[in-house]
Amino acid sequence: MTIRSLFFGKPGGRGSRSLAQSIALYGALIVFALWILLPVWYLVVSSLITPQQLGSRSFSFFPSSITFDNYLSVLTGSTGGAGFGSTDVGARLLPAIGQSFFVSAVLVVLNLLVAGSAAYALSRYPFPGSRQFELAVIATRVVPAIAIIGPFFVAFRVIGVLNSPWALIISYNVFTLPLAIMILKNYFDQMPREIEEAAKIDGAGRLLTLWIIILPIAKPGLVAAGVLIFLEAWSEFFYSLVLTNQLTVPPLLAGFQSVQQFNWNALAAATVMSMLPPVLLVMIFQRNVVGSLTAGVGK
Amino acid sequence: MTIDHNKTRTGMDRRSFLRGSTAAALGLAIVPGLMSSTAHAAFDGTLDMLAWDFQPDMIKVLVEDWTAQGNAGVDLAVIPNVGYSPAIQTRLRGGDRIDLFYNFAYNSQKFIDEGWATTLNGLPGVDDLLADMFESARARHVNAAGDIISIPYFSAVHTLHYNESYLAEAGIENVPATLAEIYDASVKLREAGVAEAPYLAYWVKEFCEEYLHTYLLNEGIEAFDAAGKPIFGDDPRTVGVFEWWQKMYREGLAPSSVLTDDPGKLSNEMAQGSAAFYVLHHYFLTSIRALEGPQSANVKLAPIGGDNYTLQIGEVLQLGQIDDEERRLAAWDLAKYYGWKDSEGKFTVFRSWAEAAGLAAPYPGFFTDPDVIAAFADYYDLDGLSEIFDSGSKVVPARTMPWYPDFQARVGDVIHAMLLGQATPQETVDALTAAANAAQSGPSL
Amino acid sequence: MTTSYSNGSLVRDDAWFGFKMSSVAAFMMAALLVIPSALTVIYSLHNVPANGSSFGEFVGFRNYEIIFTSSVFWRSVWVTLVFSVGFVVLSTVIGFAMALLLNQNFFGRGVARALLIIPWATPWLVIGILWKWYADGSVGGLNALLVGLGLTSEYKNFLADPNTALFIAIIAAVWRQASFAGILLLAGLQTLPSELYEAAELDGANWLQRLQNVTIPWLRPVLITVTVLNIIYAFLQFDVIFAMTQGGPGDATQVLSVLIYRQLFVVTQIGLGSALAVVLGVAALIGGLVTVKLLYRGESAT
Repeated sequence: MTIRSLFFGKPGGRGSRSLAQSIALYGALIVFALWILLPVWYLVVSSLITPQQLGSRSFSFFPSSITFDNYLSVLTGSTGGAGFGSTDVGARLLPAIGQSFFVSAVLVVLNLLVAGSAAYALSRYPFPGSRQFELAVIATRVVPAIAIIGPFFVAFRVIGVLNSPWALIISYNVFTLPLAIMILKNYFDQMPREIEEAAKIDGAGRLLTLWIIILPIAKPGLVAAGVLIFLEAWSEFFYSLVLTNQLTVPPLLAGFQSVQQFNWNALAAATVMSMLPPVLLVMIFQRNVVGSLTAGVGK
Repeated sequence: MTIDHNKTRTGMDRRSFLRGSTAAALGLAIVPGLMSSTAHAAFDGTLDMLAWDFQPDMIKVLVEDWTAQGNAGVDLAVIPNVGYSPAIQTRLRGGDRIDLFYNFAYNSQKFIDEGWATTLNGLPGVDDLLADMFESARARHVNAAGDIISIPYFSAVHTLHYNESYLAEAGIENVPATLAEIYDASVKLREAGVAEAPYLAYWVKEFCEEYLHTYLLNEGIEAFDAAGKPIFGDDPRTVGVFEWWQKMYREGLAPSSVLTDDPGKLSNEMAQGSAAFYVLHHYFLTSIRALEGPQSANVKLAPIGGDNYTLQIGEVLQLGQIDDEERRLAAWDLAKYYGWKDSEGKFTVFRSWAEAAGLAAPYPGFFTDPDVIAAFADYYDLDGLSEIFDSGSKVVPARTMPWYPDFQARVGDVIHAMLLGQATPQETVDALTAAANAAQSGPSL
Repeated sequence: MTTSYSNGSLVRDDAWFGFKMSSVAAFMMAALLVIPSALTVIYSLHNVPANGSSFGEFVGFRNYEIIFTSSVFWRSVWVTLVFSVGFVVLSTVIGFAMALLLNQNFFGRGVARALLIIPWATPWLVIGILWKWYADGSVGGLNALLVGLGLTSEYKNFLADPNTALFIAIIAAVWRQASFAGILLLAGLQTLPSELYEAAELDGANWLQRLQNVTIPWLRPVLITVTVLNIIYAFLQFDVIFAMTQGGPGDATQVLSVLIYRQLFVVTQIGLGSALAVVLGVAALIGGLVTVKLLYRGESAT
């Protein structure tokens, strides 16, 4: 059985892998890469071909010719009617990406602070009722978000934040806060307690211990949770649709689907552009995660 | 477009007659109605307008032009078509005031009943606007009680897009018009090897309701009586229509994917030549032609329904609840400009939509306006189109009744079940009748 | 930044500290979730007018009665269950396999881990649209691929057939969620001390035994968190199906959230829609709590 080594070649054990084990490992990696990349590749190719190329049967994963017209038409509407033909989408796509970025980033900071301290407390300093609070966290995550949008709209009207990023930053806590608490509580539970015990004996206060000792060690978990919050916010469609006028990316992309006109190629181009920022950002942080994790494992 | 010549001539005659009498009777009234727009420029605030995301930059330009003519400023918000209904209803429910908004015709009476939109009775020029409209279109905007509930945002008729050279190739001489003729022609096209699945239609769940009426009207069947009671079940021909519908799908004359396909993809299938027929709003000809596929230039328009009718659809503009009278009049001015004519009596907005996408306005004068004629691409036969609007189509007044959205939301499930072979045509008739009755008798799933 | 405390009150102090640290989160959740949810429950007992001017007439459990006697509802429950089971099992299993794979040392690991992120960085709605086109019967890539590989002989309209439509909807949603699970599990695997493996290896444990006795017990909390989240995501899934099929063809993919959307936002029967939302929320809660119970049982057993 070569699969066993695939999953259990221990970290740092590359040298001890047999040829068969390597083949199995890289075979599995190819399957993994195809699972992820084929739909993405389809998206990218769609954005680089004309509707005619798309329409001629048998989709070609390696088109004979490519065009940037779809990108041009999304950004400038300059393809003379053949493309989506709306300059406005181009004018709105970049600001929408910016708004999505702003909403997601602010939410990450806010959630890491609020959820981080709550999760740490639940893990290290349980209090009477903390178990119930934990259950409540899970219970609140099951509330169907689309059902409670009405009260939000009314509340936001009253405080005057409708159609602003703040409407989304506040309401997205519905999805992200319980999630962040659950994830981070888990993470803190996994971290060895000995370090804190040592700090305690040294006489450091709780906040100081948290700030100086725990935070640096917990960085990978915090980054992972931050990425998670960011992408949850980036992905949200319905609240943004109802509470703002296409402020973020998903409702803008949904706007491409109208009964009167639909062009998959242009939508693909817009989608590719809108996916670049989160993918790039996450890749940058992913390096950090990998870096700090390997450091931890290597000791 | 090929139109039966006799029919066209009689239609033209009737239309010119109508136009003549309208001008005679109302000519004097129209002028003050249009002129009055300058009289209430007293409003100096900003109007709120909500539209869905179809060519948003065009909407913006049109509205800015209006403001530039010395009218009020307009704060325009645009939300996606797919989420328009949830977004606008949640906003209005939450207390938002929107002065002028797009709406689906099937929501218009409901919005009045909920207090989200107002009737337009007595507003300056509204009677002239109605008199200017095709008689066939009026029932969409005026309810049974005589209240004016909306004005047009655009209008369209369900027509047959057909590939002329494919028909010739299969030896079909006359463009099919009735359901039976369409079936026979589709079989011929397949047997001749011209197209494997020749017939396309936008049969996604949400749109099955439009086709329900299109096909019933094609056979001369009324679906609802004036009070909104479902009567299609009483007509023995209804089962035949459903049998035809089921046959078209089950026999593969329509590709199996039409239950979930996008209209844009279907247009491309016509452009690429993988199908010969496409029944949907007339302006899809613009997208088929614009795709410039190998068969695009061979695609033409023809009326459907033969001696009967086709469905005329149209989405609408409604005025919100506005307490301030000056604001209300200013919003109405914007509405008239957007849904009828500008202050000089020209179809400026509709001309732009015609040029951009082939959308039409339900006014006879629209089709004879030289600017409009110039704006339409030359592959449109405007006389023929006008004729369909005038005497070849109906609007189904029940479609604006307050319970209608509820019925509308159920039709897709029922029709799809039939197309997938899960229900017989007779069961489908019963299920739809039950759905219409349930929609009128309170909340239900 | 330091807190002075006496040894005597240390435990009580700790609890108070924990309480203070949790209070902001608790307050936010009460304001953002408890109040609107309570409103939803109240709505579900009324015949709420669409314009929201009042709660409307109190109708008791009439809305629930309408729901529970409707075949549309039960059909939708079935679809939701099938979707959820497929979604949870596949997301968790594929995610776990990907995490184990990416925890290995190999050339290009950083790139591979970055790849894992891509589906996750794609909004649900976009995934629905993307897979709708990818699985399309004539212009889609999936058919070209399957035929190219010789797995199928002709193009198939996956979304036209009620069974395959649900299957494609599951796969599309799993495509994203498996990455989500994979990342969390990978982070969990990183905390696994290598000594545990080495000890197990010295004991002569084979890979399956090590998976059973070392990895899974260590990952148990993460694994169950992931499963709970997957269950919740499954029950509440809306965007993918909305963008892909809008519940069709027929009612093949009409999960409960699509029904809720229809009742609340299309036909604006707020009372009925809220009752559906309550039913869905309770179902998701039961699913989640049962899984959590498993977690605590597992913990107390060890």
